Amino acid sequence: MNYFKTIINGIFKENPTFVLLLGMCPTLATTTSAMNGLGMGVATMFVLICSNVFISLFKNLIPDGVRIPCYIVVIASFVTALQMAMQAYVPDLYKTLGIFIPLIVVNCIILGRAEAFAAKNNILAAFCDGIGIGIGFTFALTLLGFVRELLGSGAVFGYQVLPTSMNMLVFVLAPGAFITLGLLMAIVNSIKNRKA
Amino acid sequence: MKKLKSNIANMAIVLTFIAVLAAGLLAWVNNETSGPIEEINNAAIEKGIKSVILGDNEVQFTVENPLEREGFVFHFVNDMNGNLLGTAVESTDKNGFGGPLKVMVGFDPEGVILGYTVLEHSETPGLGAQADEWFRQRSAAVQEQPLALDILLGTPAAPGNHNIIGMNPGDDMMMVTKDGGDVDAITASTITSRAFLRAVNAAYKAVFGYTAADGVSGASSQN
Repeated sequence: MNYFKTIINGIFKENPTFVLLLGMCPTLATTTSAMNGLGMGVATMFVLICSNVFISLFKNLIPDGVRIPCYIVVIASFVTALQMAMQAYVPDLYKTLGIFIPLIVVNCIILGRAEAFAAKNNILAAFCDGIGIGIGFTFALTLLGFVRELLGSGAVFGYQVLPTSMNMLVFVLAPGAFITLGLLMAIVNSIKNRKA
Repeated sequence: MKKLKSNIANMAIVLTFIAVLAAGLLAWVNNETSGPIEEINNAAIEKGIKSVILGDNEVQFTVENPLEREGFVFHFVNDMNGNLLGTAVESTDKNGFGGPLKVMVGFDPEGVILGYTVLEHSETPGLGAQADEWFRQRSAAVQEQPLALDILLGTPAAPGNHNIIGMNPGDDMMMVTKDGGDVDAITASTITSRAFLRAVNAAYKAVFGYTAADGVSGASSQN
């Protein structure tokens, strides 16, 4: 097992957003600005790495019959711990992302990687997979947030670059999320196909 | 180690074991973070009280213990001689665009709005989330420096009437212009603006009992 390849695999070949199309709810809901996308991506990456390592560690101890409840309990605990830690130590980020953090529990990327990867591989591989998929997700969310923020509110990471009269409000709202996601997916896939 | 069989005893034991482990982790994290979280919340409330009553003025003041009633929290702010400077009220409207909208509004003893701050919200960034800035006098820097492109295109933002500081909900129509009031709603965020003004009116009503907006709804229901 090549660990470096596992990381790269998560970022490009199996990018959770653009290729696997997993975890669409937080993807569409939180990417109203680049900063929110980045914050959500990093928070998800933390939970993903923790749960991957933990599940890989206990994979032989968990009977198949109760594996999904066990995974959910593990994931939910890490998410709740993360939420409390964010509230205490990064209150500003918590203020903008707070309501979306509990959503990480039902993010199917995390459950999907637990089921498809962590439960079948050793701890180090599971850790690398968490990093790779986490970076891929963070990258996708930041890119999506960047485009939506630029077109919708004329800003880049909160700094106003275009006049407010040029804002296209639809990009900050839900329809803009779908439009941007579709276009970005088309671009990423066309680049990928050309390489292959 | 071989994988455990899925019989009922194994499943019950493992799930219980993991749940206990999870509970232990959460208890520990909660214990570590509850102190800082409370400090941050208290600091936010304290800062809010100071900013909504005193603004930038440096005055010595004391805050009475908060009084909670019917979902509102009242903070009475006195000067050093014990005279009432104003009342800061925490007020929540449940129907913001993205969820509950919690504001703190400061009134002087006559009911004139001294200041406000948004404590908690789930509004859309770039739209409804502007509520924290929109309903007050824009700072001079923002007002006097339109973006270069705005001037080129000849579209300077129209100065609307959305400053509620200095208004008195007892005399002024604290509703969005669309509903017949005096306050311009945030562009493309009428629902947030309505929720915000409802919270402000409710706060006034909780302290002084009657608002101008009440009078209109009363009159229209008679017609």
